[in-house]
Amino acid sequence: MATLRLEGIEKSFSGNKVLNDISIEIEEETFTVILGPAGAGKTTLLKIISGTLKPDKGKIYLGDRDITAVRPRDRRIAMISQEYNLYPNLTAYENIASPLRAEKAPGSEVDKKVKKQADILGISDLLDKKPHELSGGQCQRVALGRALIKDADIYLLDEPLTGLDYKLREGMTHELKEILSAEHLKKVVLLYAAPNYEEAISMSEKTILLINGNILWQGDTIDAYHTPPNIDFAKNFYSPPMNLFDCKLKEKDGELSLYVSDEINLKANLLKKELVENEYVLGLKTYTFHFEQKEEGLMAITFNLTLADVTPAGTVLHLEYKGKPMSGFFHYPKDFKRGPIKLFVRPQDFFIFGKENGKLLMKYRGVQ
Amino acid sequence: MSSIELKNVSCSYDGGKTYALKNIDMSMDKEGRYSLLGPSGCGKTTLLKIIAGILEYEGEVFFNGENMRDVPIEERDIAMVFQSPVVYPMTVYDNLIFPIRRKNSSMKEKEKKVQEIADLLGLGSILKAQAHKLGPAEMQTVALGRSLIKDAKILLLDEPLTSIEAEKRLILRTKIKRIQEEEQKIFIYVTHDQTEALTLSDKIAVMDDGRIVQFDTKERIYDRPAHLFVGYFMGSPGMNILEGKVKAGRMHFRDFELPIPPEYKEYLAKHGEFKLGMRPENFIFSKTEKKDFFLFNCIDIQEKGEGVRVLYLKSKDGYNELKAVGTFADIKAGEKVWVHFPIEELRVYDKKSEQIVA
Repeated sequence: MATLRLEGIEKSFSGNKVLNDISIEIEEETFTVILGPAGAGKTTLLKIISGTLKPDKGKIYLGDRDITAVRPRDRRIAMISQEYNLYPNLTAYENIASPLRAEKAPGSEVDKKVKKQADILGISDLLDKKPHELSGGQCQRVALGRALIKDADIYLLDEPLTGLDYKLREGMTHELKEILSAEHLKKVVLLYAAPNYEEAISMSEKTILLINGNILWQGDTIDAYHTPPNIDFAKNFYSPPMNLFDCKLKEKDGELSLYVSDEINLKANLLKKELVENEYVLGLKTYTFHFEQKEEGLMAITFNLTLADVTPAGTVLHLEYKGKPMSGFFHYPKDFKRGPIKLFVRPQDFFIFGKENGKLLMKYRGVQ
Repeated sequence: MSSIELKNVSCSYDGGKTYALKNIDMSMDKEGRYSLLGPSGCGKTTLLKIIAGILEYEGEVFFNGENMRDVPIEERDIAMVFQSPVVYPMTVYDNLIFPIRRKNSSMKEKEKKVQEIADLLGLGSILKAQAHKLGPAEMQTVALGRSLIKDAKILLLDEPLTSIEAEKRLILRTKIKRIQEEEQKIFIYVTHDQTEALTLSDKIAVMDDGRIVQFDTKERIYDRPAHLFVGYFMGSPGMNILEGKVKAGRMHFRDFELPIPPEYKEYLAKHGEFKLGMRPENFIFSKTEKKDFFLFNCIDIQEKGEGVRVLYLKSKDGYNELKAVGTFADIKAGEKVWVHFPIEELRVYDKKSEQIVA
């Protein structure tokens, strides 16, 4: 049983706290991503798990065994760092073989394992080459091979795609997912640090959202991607973040509504029992806008458009509503003029969060 | 009206052994927004430096019809912004006024010009700050302002956002777009990022291995890639590429076949083999069997964010792989789907040269 458990891990560098009371439990056979922007503490956390950094406080368990004081090379952990750190004077073959050489494994076993690993990674014909003769993507595979050849209980991958250009990254997310689901990696803990949510949702089953050294949320990636569990998640998981509007529960002429402005308000008579607070936050995903009143009951909202970013997958509109930055996403590329822009929204696309506790109360039920 | 024309321009860094640029012909015949887009090492920065006049080259470069062979950089009507922000160790104000300090106009006029640029770029509140002590994004804004103050007709931008913190890139991109809207110039923007190219230009030159593979409007670059490299490089994921053979007047792909689009009939009557390009956004799906729909297995689905998913598909007998992009709310990994290829979205390429069949 290879469950990895951290209890109250803390770490400071020269008085700056970079990890604060980190408690997590990661089961084997679940692909877990630690998601957070640069500087969130992801690498520090991975180094503490691998044993190359000592925590100031807290315990690390592998199964029932306390490994906090165990030396890195006795932990049965393999790590691939963001910079790959290949040995420049060794061939790809010897780079991949190096962890086995360090364990003084017999040559025939090394050869068999290196060749099998190279085959999985599609680099069999590159084994004689040295790192400077390889492209970024090829170096990355060699580094992966070197990490995966070790028979470990825990594999740590620190932003393995970040150094690649976007074309390579695009192909690698799918390939990496296949490589990491190989049979011999079934009974292990896979922990993957990612800087953006696209990597988390395209690969992982579980996500740990790490912001400024604090765990803001952890749970099932895809469920939460569809139904954001709380405001912290809505603000930090998506990129661009979910649009959030402060609103008040307002009663006028016997009609109850969740009121942001004259344009944005949701009828709430039927939700009277559930809406016990005075203030809420409405959340709206960036891709739920429409350009036209294409069906009845859509709400028209006028934003100020500051920039339209055109990507082949679609257009990102950078918007302002009453001075607050927002964004919209459309699934086709189109250029827009800066200035006021009217967009349409379905009332039932709004999420209602508690203002005080930040928790998701419900998705608005179309009682407009 | 300003124009730039390049005729048969080549450039070698090693005395002719290898060429970083090969026989470039390109004409930017009026003010507007242009991009040079390509992977690292494609020659885009080399081309920009030749236009700037800071690199030796073979061939001819014309500005407004005038050969620029012997015209030094300071006499060309250009301004340039570099990848790493370049500012002088003095205040923001002094940085901005520096290029026009010797200009033959009154101090009042010069100050007015600095104020205009500062307003345009939102530098008004930091004019007295030391420029070299600012963050990278602010420094680059100052460099941008300094490049604008001379009123040069050509503005060259060499990956100006690459060394800027990710969270500040949007602000700077917005400022560049505003300048583009307000100033009549030739803007040439060098980037490896297709989003920047699509957002900040109207015409894009896609470059690979020292050549311009396609120079066209962004709509055509996307819709009708002239070469499979462009199809692959633009788009995320890029164009699907299938190898096919002509049999009995139809295009065969081993386990399915398609009719030949009219515009390619003549070419495919003479060529038995070809490559087919198809954008992943353009497929039509059915959950049940239908006429002109082909059976594929959905082997994997990846969420891409913003409600978009990528489907990884394998044809009936596994000979062909496709990627499809869209929302696809009702398709699951492991399911069978039937795929339609709209005939007007099919592009045929020569098997060997990988050029589109005109």
